Amino acid sequence: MLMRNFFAVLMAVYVSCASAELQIEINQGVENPTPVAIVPFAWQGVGAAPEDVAQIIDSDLARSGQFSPVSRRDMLSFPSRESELFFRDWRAISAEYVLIGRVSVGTQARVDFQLFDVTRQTAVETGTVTGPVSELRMLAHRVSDQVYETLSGIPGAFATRLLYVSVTRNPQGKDFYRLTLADSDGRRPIVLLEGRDPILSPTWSPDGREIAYVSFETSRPAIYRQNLLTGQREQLTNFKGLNNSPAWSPDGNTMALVLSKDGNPDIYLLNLSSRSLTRLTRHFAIDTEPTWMPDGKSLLFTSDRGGRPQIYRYDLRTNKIDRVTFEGPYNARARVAQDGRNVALVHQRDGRYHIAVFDLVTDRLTVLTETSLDESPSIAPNGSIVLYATKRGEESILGAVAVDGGVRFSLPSREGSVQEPAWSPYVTP
Amino acid sequence: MMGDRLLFIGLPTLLSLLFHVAVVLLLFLRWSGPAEVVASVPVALPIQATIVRSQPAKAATAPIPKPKPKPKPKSKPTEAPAAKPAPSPAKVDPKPNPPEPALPKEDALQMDAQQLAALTREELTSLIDSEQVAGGSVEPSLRDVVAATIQAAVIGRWTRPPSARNGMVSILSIQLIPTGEVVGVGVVQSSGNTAFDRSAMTAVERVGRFPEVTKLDSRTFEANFRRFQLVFKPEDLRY
Amino acid sequence: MRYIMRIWGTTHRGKVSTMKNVSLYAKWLGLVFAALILAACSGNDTKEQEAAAAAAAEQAAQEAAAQEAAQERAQAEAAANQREAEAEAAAMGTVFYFGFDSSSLTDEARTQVDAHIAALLGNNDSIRLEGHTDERGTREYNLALGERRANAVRDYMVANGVPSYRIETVSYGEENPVAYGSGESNWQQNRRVELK
Repeated sequence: MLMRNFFAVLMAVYVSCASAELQIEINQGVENPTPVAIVPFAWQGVGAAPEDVAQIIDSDLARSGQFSPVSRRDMLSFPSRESELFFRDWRAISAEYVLIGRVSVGTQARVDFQLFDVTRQTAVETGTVTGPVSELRMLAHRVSDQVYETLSGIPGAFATRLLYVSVTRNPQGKDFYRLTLADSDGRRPIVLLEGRDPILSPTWSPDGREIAYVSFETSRPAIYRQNLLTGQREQLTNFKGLNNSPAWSPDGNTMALVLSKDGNPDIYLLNLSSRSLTRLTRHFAIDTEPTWMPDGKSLLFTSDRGGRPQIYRYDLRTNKIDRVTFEGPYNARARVAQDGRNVALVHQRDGRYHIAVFDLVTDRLTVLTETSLDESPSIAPNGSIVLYATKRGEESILGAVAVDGGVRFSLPSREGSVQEPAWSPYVTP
Repeated sequence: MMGDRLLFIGLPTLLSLLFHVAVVLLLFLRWSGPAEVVASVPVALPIQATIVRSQPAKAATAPIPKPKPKPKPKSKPTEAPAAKPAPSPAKVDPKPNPPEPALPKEDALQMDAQQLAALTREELTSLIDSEQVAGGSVEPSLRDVVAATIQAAVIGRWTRPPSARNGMVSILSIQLIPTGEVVGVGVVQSSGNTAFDRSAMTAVERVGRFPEVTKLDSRTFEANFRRFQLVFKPEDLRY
Repeated sequence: MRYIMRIWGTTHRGKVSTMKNVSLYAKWLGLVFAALILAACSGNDTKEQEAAAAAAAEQAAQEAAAQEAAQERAQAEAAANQREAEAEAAAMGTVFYFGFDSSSLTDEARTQVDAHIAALLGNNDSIRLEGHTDERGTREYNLALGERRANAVRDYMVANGVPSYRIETVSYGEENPVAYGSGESNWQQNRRVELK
């Protein structure tokens, strides 16, 4: 009995020793984008397809910096169903993933798609998106969001919109301003407001159905609120001095804003139902650019009470103010990502103004851009990309950079300058 | 009766016992521990690919390779160092007094894991080809260099998804055939993040083949590289 | 009369001659009254009294005339001074420039503003001060900075006698620049307060 147990133990040790494996640790990597082939989707209708859905997805994934789409010229076949797919065609051109699909239109538009892993020769994801025919571009963006989330682990932000101000210069007279709404890829621009008086600080409500902005149409800055569905406008403030920097609270009930009616610019809260005004800061310095933390319990703002602009935090529970940024002579215009951790801001270094990300947990500041006149950062709702305005020659263009500094691209405008971008939240349809 | 029992059960039992004890002892002597982490990369060092070359003058001096601790800052101390330096100084003695300075690489072989890790795959491959290491006579051993080459190859092809975070761990089991081709990749321990696991598997698939293992003798290959594990544990991400 | 005349003179700046006509009218009126008084009293007096009265009336008329003349000269001078002050202010320019990140008046700006103060003290104009910045930095912070600059000019004017209800301040921040390019030569043109 004892012997048998002893043998058993010895055998167990023997076996376990024999199966011990060498382990090699991999704790670094590289940033090479994943090659993915997006095959032109089959159009199951008459005439020409209203949109090139595969091209929209291709551009979205390329812009994310995580993927390098395969050129159509290199594709050996154009399957739209699994039965037409031959993995060797895609291995041959070094694609790691293949996306195929079909588009059909009836009372609604419908996009069917399938994502395959070329190496393992398996289907990774199968899906369908449906919606109004007029929103076919948005449906394509939703497919991009799905593919992106499956392969990257975080939700995509392609089916979103951008708000920005487009300015046409007029050296002889006054510049012409247009408040514009477009898709996240800059397409389908719609002008919401235009005129010769400046428009500034566009911002979104948390449900994505309303916007607010500053307009000089009364020859003084005033804050307006506008419903995107009905087009109805309302002037929210009309105080003496500055009325600017509107910022909607995450619960949608309060608007933080800046007024200088009491002598110098300070942060105020406007209750949107009762219209009561609460003053938050009382300091002779400039206090401006309020932005809410995602939990709605505190705000970040810019103040030069220490001499030059830096970011401070106002805790609404304790009414205490403390300083957040200490590195560099100028830090302003904070915008907080949904994770409540990453803060995009404008940071000055050696006389140049860059977009930087400040990590509230580690207190570490990382400069993301190399251009020198950057302003107005706005973070995508998935927290991955920062959109901002920068100067190119005499015009202003929109640039974008990944929060981890991985990818950069710019969105030039066809006419004039583009400035003050504001990325929409996820809109619940 | 008792005698029979003793003879027919006791003797084979005893022999069997002795045999097993001998095998176990042999295993313990030869074997280096259940989870041996080879050549882990130091954190936050940009890879400076330079092979350490000391001056030829050094060759004239003490040839003994200092028995460095087995080069893994994070792993448990193993018994291999006890085993290895015993045979090697004996063989090394005649060599490092070379009449020809044309082989400066000899002195370069006094490398620890950090220096190994700093080499590119190409440099590691040429290191394998140099006779010193292939001869199995000096530190680091050929096995360590091959492991470092595999590590460098996978690192060069591993693209982390945006959801990757420092501290995530994904352990893959890799199966090779003697030509170096990867014939099996499986997830032994998931990080909990599908995209992260997938990116690890993709890295191995992108490499596809590890030709360095062909330089190994079959016993080393079978013992270490027929089947091994890759531990994907990033430390260079922002957070 | 004098007050009324002055108002007329102010509102019809180009028609200073109106004032001359009025004082001439007064002069003649004075004379006529003097003559009438003389005529009313002349029937009972002797020739000597008549002569004396005539002489007195003449003297009074002359004094009145002299006074009128002096008054007229003073007003003309004041008007001329005001015109000069306004011309000087215009010559100084209606744009005041600022140093980088600064909202304090430079000496040159102060000289310019002094001229405008002088002109404003002589009239009842209302003005609007528009503050601007160069493009560097964030837009909303620059809006506050522009206001600081406009307020600096306003405060200086108020300290020197211009009533604050006549001054409106607005900031455009980095909007509506004068120069669109980058670099100091462009930026310095944009760091300004405009008087309108």
